Amino acid sequence: MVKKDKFKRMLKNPMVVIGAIMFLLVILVVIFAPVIAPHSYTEQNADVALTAPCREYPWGTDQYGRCIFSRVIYGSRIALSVGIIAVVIETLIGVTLGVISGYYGKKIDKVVQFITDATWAIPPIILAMAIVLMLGSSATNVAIAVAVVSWAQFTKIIRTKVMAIKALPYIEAAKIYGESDLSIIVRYILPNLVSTIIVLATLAMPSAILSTTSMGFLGLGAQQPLPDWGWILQNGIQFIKKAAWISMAPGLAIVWTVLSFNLVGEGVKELLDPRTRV
Amino acid sequence: MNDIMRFIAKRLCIGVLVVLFVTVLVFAIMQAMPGNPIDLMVDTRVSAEKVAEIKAQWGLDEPPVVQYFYWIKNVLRGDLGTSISLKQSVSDLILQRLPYTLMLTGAALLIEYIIAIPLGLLAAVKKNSAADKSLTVVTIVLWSMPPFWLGVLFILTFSVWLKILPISGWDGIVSLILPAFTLALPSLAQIFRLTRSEVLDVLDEKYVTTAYAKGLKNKVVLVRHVLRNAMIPVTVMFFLSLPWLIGGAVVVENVFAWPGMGQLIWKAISKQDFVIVQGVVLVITILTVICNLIGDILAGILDPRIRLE
Amino acid sequence: MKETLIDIQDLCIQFQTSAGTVRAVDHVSFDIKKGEVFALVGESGCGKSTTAMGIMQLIKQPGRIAGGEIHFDGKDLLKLSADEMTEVRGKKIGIIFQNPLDSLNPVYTVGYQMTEGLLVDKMEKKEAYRLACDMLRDVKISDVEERMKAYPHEISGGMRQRVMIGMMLCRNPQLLIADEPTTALDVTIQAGIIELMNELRRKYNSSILIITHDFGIVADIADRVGVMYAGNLIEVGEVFEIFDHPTHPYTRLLMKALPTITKEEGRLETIRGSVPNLAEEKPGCNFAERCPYAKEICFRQKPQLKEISEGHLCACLLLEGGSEDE
Repeated sequence: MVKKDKFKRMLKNPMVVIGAIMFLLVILVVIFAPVIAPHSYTEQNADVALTAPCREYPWGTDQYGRCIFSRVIYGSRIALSVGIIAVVIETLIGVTLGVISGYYGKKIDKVVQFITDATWAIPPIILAMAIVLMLGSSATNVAIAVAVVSWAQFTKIIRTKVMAIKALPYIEAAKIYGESDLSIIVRYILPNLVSTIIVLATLAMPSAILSTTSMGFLGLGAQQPLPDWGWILQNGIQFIKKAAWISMAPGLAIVWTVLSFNLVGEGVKELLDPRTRV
Repeated sequence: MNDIMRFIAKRLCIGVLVVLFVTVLVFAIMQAMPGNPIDLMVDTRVSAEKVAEIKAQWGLDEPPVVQYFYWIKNVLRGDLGTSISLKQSVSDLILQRLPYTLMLTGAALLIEYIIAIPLGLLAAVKKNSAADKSLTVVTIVLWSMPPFWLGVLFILTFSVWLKILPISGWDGIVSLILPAFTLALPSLAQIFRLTRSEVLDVLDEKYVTTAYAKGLKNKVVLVRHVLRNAMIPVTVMFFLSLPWLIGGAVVVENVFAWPGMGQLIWKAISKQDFVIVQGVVLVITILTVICNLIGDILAGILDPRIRLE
Repeated sequence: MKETLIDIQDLCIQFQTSAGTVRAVDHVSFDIKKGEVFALVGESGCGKSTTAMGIMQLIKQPGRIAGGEIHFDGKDLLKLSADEMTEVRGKKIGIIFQNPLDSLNPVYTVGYQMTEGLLVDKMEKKEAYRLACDMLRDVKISDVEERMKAYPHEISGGMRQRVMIGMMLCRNPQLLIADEPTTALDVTIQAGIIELMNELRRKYNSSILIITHDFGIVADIADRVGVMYAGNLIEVGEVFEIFDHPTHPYTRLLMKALPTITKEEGRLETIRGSVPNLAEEKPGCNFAERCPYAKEICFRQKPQLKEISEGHLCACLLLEGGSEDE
């Protein structure tokens, strides 16, 4: 497990602290969205279409008169949940394959490695686009698609770790005692991987959010009238001259969220075994 | 010489397998999509027989496996098929657009490396100084910016407010600037960090101390010994990241209406024009395999220790 | 009396760490004469390697030279500019390190690295190549032409060390510093390297500062020896004088702890206790806590090096009172 003093040092890192605070704010927004947002995210009002930021509409309105501020606030729920779902799925896939590959070795390892490398060969966004279109545009499907193209980052590192753990004497002993593979994996190998998995998952969040919002930008995510951050931005491009706020607002929200994870990630990276190259 | 030849041959074989694997994967995904391109294009008033006839024309009535083999056969003859939605030869479409995408990714790569390497070197040499820390923070912030937002921000600043650069499309070399920077800046961070950490590792190596001990000047040591070694993984990274950037280009091309392959494949996927999609994916995958191969060969040339493997 | 080649006075090297300022080298003074071999011995961490690096001014952050003078060639090395010091390195003073694999750049051939230093002296490439080959022959490397084209990882450890020696000697420096040159090599090769250094010293009349914790090597090659403990130089003298009459309690215990020197049969002795924390500044002798002869004064006053017989210096307060030890 993670050493206590490493953990304490991490908490003293200013970047981690700032990132954590930023992230906390995001969480607060997610939880208290209905309280913070002055309007609903669907409420249309043609009279106030394309108004600049003002007291009534802190971040202005779009062409339907919808409050951008409210839409972005509610949109945080979509962005964060999609990101988290994506990371959860890619962790499950990546770790499972990494464990299988590392534990069983030989042919299975070669096959898994081949598949991992091959999926790496095609630019992820393109494959993800195809998958979403196959499944249909929705927030969940975006999460699935992004997860499917991103698990490789877990597999390699987990595989190496599993191979190292497998070589330890007590695993040999367990095998001689006749313990089943599944039992060994669950009882001995997985517990040793927990901290690494948590760290890798945290580090995977920023790119997960960037990828999922990119998909939303291309129109593949949560559909109207749901306030998908990427889609709001896409929608605002046509009004860039008259109403730049429509695009700028969700973008800033994305930067804020991703940055918070990146900053925390800087500190969390220290907790990894220094030999792992992320 | 023989070793190198065998090495390349082996990698090429694996490369071919990878290409095949990927094309099968994409083919399967395209087939799995609900509906088909004909139905998407055709008016509802057209009779069912006519639709069936069109489908037969395009070979869509055959089972998928057969379709796949027809396609492979044609590819080996150099024919990537004809687009169903655009009714043009896919090869033509790709050739038209590939240069623009390559221009964009090439320019972005150059910008990234030209900026990031010296900064990485500086940060490493002045480790933990104010310069180092602020550069690290700046690159983290850049890294957090989604390219589609950065692009819009650039358009806003340079095209709308300052009016010094074109908004979108291809309008001469000048229009390459914004999209290239949009693609380059968020990825700078990776190169910066890699350079910095490699230089730091090398600076700790004994042979650097030996170089100083021999009486070589500081600049000579930094370039000839430190950079030369630190740049090995960085250079390899250059080739390996090209295919990646092509993926990132999809979004950037969308923002700037750039006439590249990203746009092509995006429209093709939404219209389920699998002919185009397969063709583009094939080209990109081949490109990736070649880039990986170049990267490996380069690593062997630059680092004699690798040649032993 | 031989001429003094290098005179180190009051050298202080410190490291800034989170635990405080570590006095790795604390007021160390000794000199090396022309053509002599001086051995600097002590346990790991006593500051001997740091002293060597200090002479070459190759101390890396967070270390720095905090004081002292090093007189060499009519100048004080510590007052030279960076460029001037660069000219001294390799040409006037050379250094070889402990682990030869890491000390050579893996991406350049042996030949390239050999001639690199020579080319600083502005000669023709052909000339440099010839000199490098000659040097490799001098260090008893066979198939010189082949080796010149080889990469460091393609030749054996013993050969790499010889290449290092050759590389550092080819510009004929007046002083060669050898930092644990044989520790990473196996015993059979060790002897060869020592033999080689002896020969080269005779041939080029260079002085050698050899850093080691192996008294066997000291006996083999050194003329004079200095014993360091926790950053201080506590005893200096001619080798046989020190071996026959070790004076400082630490030196005496060291001798007893060595299997090679013990004349009596019986158990090996160990020195109880451990090296003090150099980050804490303590009054008094650094060795006092572990010293079996320590008196109260030893904890209050720092001993200085004093001459107890010709050429033999020792830093121990007990000598002044003229008590139990000689």
